[in-house]
Amino acid sequence: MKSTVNSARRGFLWKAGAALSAPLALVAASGDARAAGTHDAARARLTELEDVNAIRELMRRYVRHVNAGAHDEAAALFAEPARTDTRFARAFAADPAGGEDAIEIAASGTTATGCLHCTAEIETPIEPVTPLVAMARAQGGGVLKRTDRGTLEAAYVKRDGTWKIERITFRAA
Amino acid sequence: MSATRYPQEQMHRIKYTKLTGAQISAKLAAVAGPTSSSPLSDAFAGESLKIVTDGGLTLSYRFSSANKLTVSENDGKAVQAGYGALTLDHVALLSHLVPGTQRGYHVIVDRDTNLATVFEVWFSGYEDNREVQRQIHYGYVEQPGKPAPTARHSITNRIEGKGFYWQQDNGIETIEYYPTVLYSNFVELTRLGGELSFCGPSDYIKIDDDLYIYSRVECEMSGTMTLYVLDANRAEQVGVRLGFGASDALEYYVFRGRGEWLGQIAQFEPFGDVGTTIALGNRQVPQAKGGRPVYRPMKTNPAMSKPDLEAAIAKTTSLFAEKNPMAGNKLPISEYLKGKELTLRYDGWLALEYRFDDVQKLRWRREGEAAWHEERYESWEAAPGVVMFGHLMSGAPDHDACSIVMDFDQALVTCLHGTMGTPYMANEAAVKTRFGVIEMKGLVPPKYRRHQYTDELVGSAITWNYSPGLTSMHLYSTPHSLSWIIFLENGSGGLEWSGPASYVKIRDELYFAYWLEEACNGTLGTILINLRTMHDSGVGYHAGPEGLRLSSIGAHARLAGRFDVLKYFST
Repeated sequence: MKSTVNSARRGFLWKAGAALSAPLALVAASGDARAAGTHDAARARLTELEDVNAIRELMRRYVRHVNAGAHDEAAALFAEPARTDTRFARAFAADPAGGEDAIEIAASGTTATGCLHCTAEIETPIEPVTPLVAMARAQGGGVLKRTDRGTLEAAYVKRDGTWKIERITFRAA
Repeated sequence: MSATRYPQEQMHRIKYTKLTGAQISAKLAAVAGPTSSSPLSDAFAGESLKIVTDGGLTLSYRFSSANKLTVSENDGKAVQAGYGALTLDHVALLSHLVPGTQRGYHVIVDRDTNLATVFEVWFSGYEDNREVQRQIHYGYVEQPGKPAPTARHSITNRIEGKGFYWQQDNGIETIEYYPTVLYSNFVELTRLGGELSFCGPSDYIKIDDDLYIYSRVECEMSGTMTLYVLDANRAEQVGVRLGFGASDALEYYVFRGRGEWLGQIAQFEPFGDVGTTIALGNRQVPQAKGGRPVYRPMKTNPAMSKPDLEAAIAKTTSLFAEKNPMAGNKLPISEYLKGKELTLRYDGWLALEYRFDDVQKLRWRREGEAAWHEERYESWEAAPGVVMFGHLMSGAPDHDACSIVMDFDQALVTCLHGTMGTPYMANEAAVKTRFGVIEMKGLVPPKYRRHQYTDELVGSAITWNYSPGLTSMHLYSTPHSLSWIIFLENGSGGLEWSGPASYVKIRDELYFAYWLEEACNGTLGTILINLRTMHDSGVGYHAGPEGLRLSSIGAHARLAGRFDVLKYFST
C-alpha cells in the first residue's frame, strides 16, 4: 500500500519557504478512506504530510547545493555520501511547462519516490584531458553544457527519522 | 659589457629555498617597517583612526609620526610598529607588520569617502611558507557621530584588459598586463632583463573610475606580493612589495611609480557585467582563509625521472589521435603533399629527404642514410602553397619531433625541432628553430633568403576556440614569451600561465609560433597563425605519465586587441 501526494501547484520545489504552507491534495487509497475519521488514520495522514514536507525540503536543499556548486554539501544529503557523485548536472530550474510533481510515500513509511519536472543544465566533461582542459577544469570549466527538459527522479530512504536521498537521476523528456 | 642584468636563472627555474617559519620570523623581526625611496607621507602623523570592516576585523591606529604607529586589532592590546604611507590623490596607502608575528596589513583609505580596504597578509599559510597569503577586508573609517557608509570598494572587471608600463621610484621597471579577473601577467624589465613574462594570482578592486587597487602574489615562484593603487588616467601608482627574493632576503618597501598606458584589449563578458562576482562555474572558491583559485602547474604536472618517462613512452605513443579537443576546429587534412618527393635542407643542421607516400604516411631519411623511416603525419594547407605538417623522428634519441612549415611559392622551410627532456625535467620539451629551403624537382630555392624571426605579433591578444567549450586567449607578451588565458564561464579571463615562445614570419599575416609550457606540463605547442582566415593549424608535442603524444591543433581565432609595447623590448 502506498499513497501519492501531489502538489496543488506545479513546480512546488521552486517556491521557497512554502514547505509547510503549500496546500496539498492527498490521493488516498481505498483502505485509507475506510480508516478516515479514526484517530489512527489522522495520525497516519499527519505523519505522511510531515514526510512529504521533509522530502520537499530535502529536495530544495539538494537543488540549492547543486546550483551553488556545493557538491560536498549536496552529497551529504544522500544515504551514502561517499558513493555519491552529484556532478551529473550543473543546475536545475523550474520547468513552467512541465507536469505535476509528485512524491509517493511507501506504506512502510521508510522509503519514498519522487518525480520533479525541471530543466537541467547538463555538463559533459571534455575528453581527453589535455593540459588546457586540465587548466579549464581548475576554474570550473572544461565541460560542454546543454540544457534539457525532463524529470528528476529520486528514491528516498528514512534513516534514524531523517529522510535521505538513496539515488537520483535526471531523465530527459 | 651588457647594461641589461640578465639573471642566472629566470624566475620559473629558480629553486627558491623552502624557508622555515623560524627563518621567516627572524627575517621579519629584523626590520622596523617598510623602506621607501620616496619621502614617506605624513598624512596620518598625529592622527588616530579606526577602520571597521564587514567581516568583523577592526584596526585602531594612532600614528605618532610618519613612520611609527600603534595598532590594536579587534580592540585588543595596542602594539607599536613601524609603517610607511604614501598618497595618491585622495587615496592613502599604509603598510605595516604586526611585531612578533608573521602578519601585517596593507591598508588603503579613500580620504574623500572614508571607505577603506584592508589586505591582511601573512606568511606560513601555505605549504610553501614564503608565499604571501592575503585576505581582503572591505570597510570604512569610523567617523564619530556619523552613520557608517553603505558603499564599499569591490572587485571589478573594469580594469580587465588594460596594460601599463611602470617605473618605480627605486628604478625598477615592469610591464604589467591585466588580461583576466583572476590573474595578471608581468614582465620584469629591470630585475630579469624582460625576456619572459610571468603570471600570478591577482586582485582587482575598484575605488572609483580612475583609481584601482591591484595586487599579485608570485605563487609557485618567490611568493612575493606586489600591491599598489593605480590611477588609470594619470598612470601613477603608490604601492608596497613584501616577500623574499631569490637570495631569501626580505623585500619590504613602499614605492611610488609613474608609467605609461599601453592599451586596452577586448573583454568578453556580457554587456552590463562589471565583474562584482567571479564566475567559477562548478568550482567553489577554496574555503580556507584567503582562498582563491591558484594555478599550480608543478603540483599538477610533477617532474618525472628519465627511466619513468621512457617506460611511459614505451607503453604509449599516440600520433594524431582522432579524439582531441584541441583540434575540434582544425583545418581539413591536406592532400597537397601526397606523392611528392623532396629534400628539406636546413642551415647548420640536417638535410632530410622525404617521400610522401600517402595523405598520412611518409618516409624520411637523413641525407646519405640508406634506410628510410616510416612515420604517420598530418598536414594542412594553411594558405595557398603553404603547408604545415608534423611527424616524429622514429629512433631519434630524444624522441625528436618536427613541426614544419613549407612555403612552396618561395621554396622556404622552417622547422620547429622538438626534443624531449631538458636539464630541468625529463618530461619537458625543448625546441630549436631550423631555417632552410625546399629542394624539389621544378623548384629553385633562394640562396640567401630565409624565413625570419619577427616581433610583429608582440603585444597582440588572440582568442582561440579549439572546440565547443574550449577557448583560450594567447597574449604575445614579449618577443620571447607567450601567455595563455582560460576564460571563465561568463567570458572573463580566468587562470593564466606563461612560457617561452618565438615567432617566425612566413608571409604577411602568416606566422609560425611556438610556446613551451616550461616548469609546467612540458608541452611544446607549435601553430601556424593565419590572420587573414583567423584560423590556425598546429602540432602539440607532449610526454608525461600517459606516454608521448604528438597531436594536431586547430582553432578559430578572434583578434582581441593589442598593447603598444614593442618599444620596451628594443635593445
